[in-house]
Amino acid sequence: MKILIILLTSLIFVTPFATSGELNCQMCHGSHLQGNVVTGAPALNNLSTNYIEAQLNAFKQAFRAKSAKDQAGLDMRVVAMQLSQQEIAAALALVKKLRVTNASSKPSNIPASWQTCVACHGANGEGNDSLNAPAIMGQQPWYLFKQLHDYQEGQRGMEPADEAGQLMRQTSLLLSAEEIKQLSQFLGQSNKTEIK
Amino acid sequence: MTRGLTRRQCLTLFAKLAGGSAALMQAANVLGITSSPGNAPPIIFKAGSGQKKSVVMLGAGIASLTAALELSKAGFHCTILEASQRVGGRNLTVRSGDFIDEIGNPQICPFDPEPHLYFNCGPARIPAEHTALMHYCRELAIPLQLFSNYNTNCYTHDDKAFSGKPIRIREYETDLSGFMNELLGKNLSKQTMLDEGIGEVELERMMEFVRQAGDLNKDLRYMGSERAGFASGGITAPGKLKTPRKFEDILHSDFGLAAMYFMRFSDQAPAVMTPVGGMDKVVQGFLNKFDPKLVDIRLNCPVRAIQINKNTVDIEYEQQGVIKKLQADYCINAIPSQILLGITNNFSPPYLKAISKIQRGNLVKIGFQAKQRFWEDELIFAGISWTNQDITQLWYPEHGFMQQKGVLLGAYSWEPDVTSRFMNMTHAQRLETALKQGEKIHPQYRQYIENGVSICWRRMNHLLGCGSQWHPDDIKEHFTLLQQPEGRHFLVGDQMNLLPGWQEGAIRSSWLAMSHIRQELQASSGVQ
Repeated sequence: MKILIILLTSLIFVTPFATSGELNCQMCHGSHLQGNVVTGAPALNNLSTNYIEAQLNAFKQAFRAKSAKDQAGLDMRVVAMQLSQQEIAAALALVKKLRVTNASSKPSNIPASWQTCVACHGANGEGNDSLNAPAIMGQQPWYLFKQLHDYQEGQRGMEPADEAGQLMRQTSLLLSAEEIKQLSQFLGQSNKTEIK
Repeated sequence: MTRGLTRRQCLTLFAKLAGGSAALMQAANVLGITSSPGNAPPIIFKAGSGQKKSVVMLGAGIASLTAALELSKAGFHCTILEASQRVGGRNLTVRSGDFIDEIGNPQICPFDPEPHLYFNCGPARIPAEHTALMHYCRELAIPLQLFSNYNTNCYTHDDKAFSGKPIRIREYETDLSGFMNELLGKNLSKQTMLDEGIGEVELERMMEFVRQAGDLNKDLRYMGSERAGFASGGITAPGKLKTPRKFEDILHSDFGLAAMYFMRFSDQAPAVMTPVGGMDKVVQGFLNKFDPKLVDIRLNCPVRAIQINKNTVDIEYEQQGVIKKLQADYCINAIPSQILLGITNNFSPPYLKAISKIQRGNLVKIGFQAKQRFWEDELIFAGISWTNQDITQLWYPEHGFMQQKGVLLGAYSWEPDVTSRFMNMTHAQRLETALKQGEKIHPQYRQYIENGVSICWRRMNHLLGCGSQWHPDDIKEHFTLLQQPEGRHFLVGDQMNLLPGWQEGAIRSSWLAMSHIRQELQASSGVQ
């Protein structure tokens, strides 16, 4: 019996999800990876797999989730810390499978500050992998709102190794509180969640 | 605001969490979710009234198990979809080798494989006034034993009092009462009594009440009391009274602000009960009773979409990577709100808004296996010690008396700041913190502790929270809305009652959902 327990224990630490037998992105990020304000998990179904992989790495290296104020980030950090390469591959495959595109929907009420974003994030906010700029169109508005504030406050984009993050931090400092709100609402208009 | 006040407020909060608030109980009564004490009847369906009808339950916790038991008795075909690998929800008892599925801190329970070495990670006690749960304990023949919330041999500890040394609860309570009543006695006069409209005869009786309450001497002075326990002797030699503690110390401790009265709440006061062998005997009791032809439990089946139709509900769920569909006449949904809000659905906007009002809770418990029941050497058999440190409580087991080893609770925290601190530690850091703080109460603690488990409910896979709460302002509009059917969909569980954290609330929410189903069945059979 004891030997069995030791065996099981060692298995668990190698592949922590083995016993639960599944990868569980959807529990926090939503059944269709559309995001969930209560768990603080963003939409993943508009993001490229390259960007997600980079962010998993950012969580692992604590480029993100730097303080107790970012509880959702800390939650994601413990997940990122325990994911195996296999599980990361499975997660990326899931994102691909559930991916939605907002390309056809022409956004309305474009705020003036939108021009600050397009150079990196694309004319339709679809993102640009070569610049490590994520898709922002169709993201949850409360999430964009929080990230822009996190950049401004130096919770994100402070690590020398995180070049895209550093650039984003500089850009965020150009935005007023009102502009952040407008941009978040504009980009998240395909999401129904309100900013609290 | 002082830390003491914060503590008191939090204890009040906990009282609500754990169901002690009279105001909330009254609200619950008004809303019709409790019955008067006694033998509560479940929802009874006419025999055979569920034949050829189907119900799907989402989540295999106490609410769904209740529904499956009652509905299958009436002939309904019941399917329970459970996202995790186990039945029971937050009713979780861990024993040797059990998997604790916490995100970031997966653990295998390291306790020795002995029947008395188990730990109730979720609910742990059953008050007699929880008549619905008691009904099932009776029906499912679940043996109960006493659980002790109150044992004055246990300690109270506060960094700010008694030089940070623990003292026995009986000493604290006796000295406090002695000092308070001495002060009261000094200030009682004919005039003060007359001001209250109380006559001379009653004044004399009042003096005697005060003397008895404080165990004062003839001069109404408190000189120590046998109630605090003798310093020495008392059996074969005359007992020697303990010297009373300093009144300042008593007042500097937070114990008398809140924790001391915990056991006065009607659902925490002696005697409360617990199933012999672990709380999950309740779950086992339900499972034993199910007719396998009528109750189909599917584990590892997370729900991906819920669509409510006019007379049916469609569920999409995933099983081993394959999306499957299921249609039922009724859906009883116990998925925690924080997860439910991420599941694609066609709920009406007011219903969705109401769900978003449910406040996600967090509770943390730590269980330790001790190689020797050192607390028994200190005359402690069951009960709770209190401290103003993050661990808040130590529970000594009510089972396995005088065995070699024992499992004790090394922390139970509910204050949000405290639970966040524990949550953001690794499992090893949590155990170390609990050991360090426990040493303030039992200096020799560390040498006896062999291993431990930590449960942080906000991080538990497929649950992501425990002890969700309703803000009083949201009850009238949103809570009552969710108590109503949404088509043939009913939201139930711990979150759908005003006694979060208790199984009683889950059962009552399920009974309420079934009362709607019964009503609808009666209405539709009237039409035929």
